[in-house]
Amino acid sequence: MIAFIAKRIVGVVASLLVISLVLFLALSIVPGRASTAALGTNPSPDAIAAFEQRYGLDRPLAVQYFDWLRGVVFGDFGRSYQTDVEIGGEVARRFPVTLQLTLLSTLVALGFAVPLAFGAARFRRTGFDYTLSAVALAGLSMPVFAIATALVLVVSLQLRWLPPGGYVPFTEDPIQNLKLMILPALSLGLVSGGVMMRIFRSGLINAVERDFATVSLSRGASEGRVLVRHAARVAAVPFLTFGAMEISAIFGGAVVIEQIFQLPGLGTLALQGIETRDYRVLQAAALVIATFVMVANLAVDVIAAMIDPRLRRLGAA
Amino acid sequence: MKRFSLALVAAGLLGLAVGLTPSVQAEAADQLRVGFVDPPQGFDPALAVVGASHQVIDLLFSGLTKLDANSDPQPDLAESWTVSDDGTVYTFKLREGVKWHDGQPLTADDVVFTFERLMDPKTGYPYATQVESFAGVKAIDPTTVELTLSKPTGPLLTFLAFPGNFIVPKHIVSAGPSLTSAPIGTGPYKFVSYSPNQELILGKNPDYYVSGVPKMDLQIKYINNDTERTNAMLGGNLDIATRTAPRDYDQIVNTPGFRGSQTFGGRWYSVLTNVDADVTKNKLVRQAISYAIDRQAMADVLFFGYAEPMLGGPIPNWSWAHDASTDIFPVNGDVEKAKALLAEAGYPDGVTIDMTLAASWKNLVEQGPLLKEMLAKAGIEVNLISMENPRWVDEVWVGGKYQTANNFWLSPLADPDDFIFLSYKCGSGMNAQRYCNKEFDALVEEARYTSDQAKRKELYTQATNILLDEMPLIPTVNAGILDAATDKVQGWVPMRTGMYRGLENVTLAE
Repeated sequence: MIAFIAKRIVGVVASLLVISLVLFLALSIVPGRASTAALGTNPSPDAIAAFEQRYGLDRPLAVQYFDWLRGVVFGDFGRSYQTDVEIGGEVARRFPVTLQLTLLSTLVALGFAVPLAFGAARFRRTGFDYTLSAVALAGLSMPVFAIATALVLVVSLQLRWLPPGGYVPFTEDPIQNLKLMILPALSLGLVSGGVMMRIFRSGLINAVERDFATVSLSRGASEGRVLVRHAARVAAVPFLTFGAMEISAIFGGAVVIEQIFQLPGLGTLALQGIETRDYRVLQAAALVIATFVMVANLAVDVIAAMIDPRLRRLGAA
Repeated sequence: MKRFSLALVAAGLLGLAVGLTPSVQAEAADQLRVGFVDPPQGFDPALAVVGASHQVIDLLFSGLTKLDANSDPQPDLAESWTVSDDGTVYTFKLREGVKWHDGQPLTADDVVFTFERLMDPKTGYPYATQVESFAGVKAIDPTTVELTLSKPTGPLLTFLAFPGNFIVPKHIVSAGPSLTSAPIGTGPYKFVSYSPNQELILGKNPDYYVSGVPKMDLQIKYINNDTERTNAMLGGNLDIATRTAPRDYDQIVNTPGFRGSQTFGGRWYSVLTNVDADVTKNKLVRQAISYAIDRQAMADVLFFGYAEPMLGGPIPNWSWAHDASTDIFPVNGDVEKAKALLAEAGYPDGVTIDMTLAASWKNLVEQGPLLKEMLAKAGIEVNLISMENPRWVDEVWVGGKYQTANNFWLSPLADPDDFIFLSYKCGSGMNAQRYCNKEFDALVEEARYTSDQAKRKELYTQATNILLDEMPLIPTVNAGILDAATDKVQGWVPMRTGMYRGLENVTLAE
């Protein structure tokens, strides 16, 4: 197990290096220069020179990359071209917001997906099942921003139950924090919940129709019991792997949702980085998001390996 | 597994349950919540480029003068001043007892340091043309400053009220720390914290020279999507929403508990025509485009009536320098005249041009289809090209790789010089059309460096007549600045400049 985990960690680090290089190169060839974005359309040559020297942009790309990389390893992401703030501190302040949003959205998704998948599998191929699957399909087909906008219109502006956006840290006012997080988490969670429900449902049906389940049923176990005790375990492994990808999708979707609900997370930071060609900010945000996605996937792989020992052998081979 | 999933469901529903109790947004009693649009990019007066930075600098720093709601200069850090007979020497008497946010006193040395910094080419001051005529500045005593100009400068007192020219603390800037992220000023508000693209917190400056002001701390929320800003206003998250979208404005002011204000200032829209590019290098084509545009339709359709058609040059109707004789374009356009001009230009069967749109400025993007339809009637086929903003800036403004584009600008000074000088002058950073006419330049230079207002107006009219013939840029509409507030907001007067000085006088009724 330890060899398995160690091997996966090496893989994660290698992937992050590749990602950082690709990010760096991609951003250096995108049209639109950082100096024009920061200094206006007609800066004097002196001003451009001072700007590029201040942020080290006058050096060769390779030097810039390795310098940046060395900083990142020691937790120094540099300073923003636009606002001159320390990016590391800004990212550290914003990461918990995006993380909380992702976790709550995942809870919402699972809260819908798991019970509904059991229900649909229990009454498979009935009107109930087909209706649920159709509703789930409708959910996963909707763009996140459309659900978000609809929720704001109905829940905030018509019913006036919840504020239409904003943020208060959990540590300051937990109730208000959760109130502000409900709509964003619902927007992201409903879409992912639809996807997850359909995957878990087909896994359950697949398992419950296999021989071991038929044997259990013939020995008098109730169908519900067989689903929960036996089929769930079989269906859980592919579902977990899939779920990890879906959490990555939620984390990515947070970029849009944070903007709509004015949450001070990594997404809004990354968007401003794009708009203003503030590359260091964008690189930092993207790298943190990539790291999170990989770590989440690694964690899920480890959990799956604990559930299904065969995966450990495959992984270590 | 069963217990696990039950726990998950329970946790998921917990979040829901918390929310189902009817909620009122918690608000700090002493904080005024204001929705701004674009996030600032740094707070150093001498280095800031964008209006979003100037809006904040305007609250944190002070100039020798400030503009009132009607854009006339008034004393600010300078309590009074005298001008020499030839208009080249200004002696400013500074207000006594003004303190920087760190407690140090403001002195004449700070003023000298600020102006010398702006004049130094190494600083890279983006609005350096405003200080072009500064020849020298010296401190006579700790509260007296003498500014010598190389020539009389008509809008000097207005220039001094521009946030870029605001006074910075010598003891901080000369020692190295950056004002870009940690501004120290003498303005009504002190910097507390900034979360980029999100929220800016400003606290009351207890030492502000007007006693009892500001009344409240400020929480500025950056919400650049119009719909989200409107929702935040209607949903009770804001006390004031700035720059409300015209399509949302009626909805907000018709909702009980809300009101709005329309202010005409320097927010004007235009079609840019590259005078170096194929086809648009012909001034007859540019005139044809101008005649083909139905400006009333633009004002009605795109601005829901909250805009005034601009029928001539760039100086808006409300300005003292506006001359009605220059309003030559019919309010609904003149398609036949446009066709005739096009034929005269050598395109009797019509012509095709590109129009490059900046994708993030939705209000510009949505003009594209309407302009395309209007120009098509005159035989001008428009290819709409949309690109991401930073690339648009590089291609249109820096590289000149375009035929036509559209643009808007909010003049922070609301002085005629600000509308006409930078947008048309040879080599100016605001002159994306690459227009260059020495005769025109001489006229606007003379107008800038003249103190007599009547004489200035005459010069601007002459300059405008050149523009109407050459049409290097086509003004379309002057849009009202639409701000919205709740009924609780008291004491707020919107500014023509689109700045938000004046927030310091606002209180919230219980």
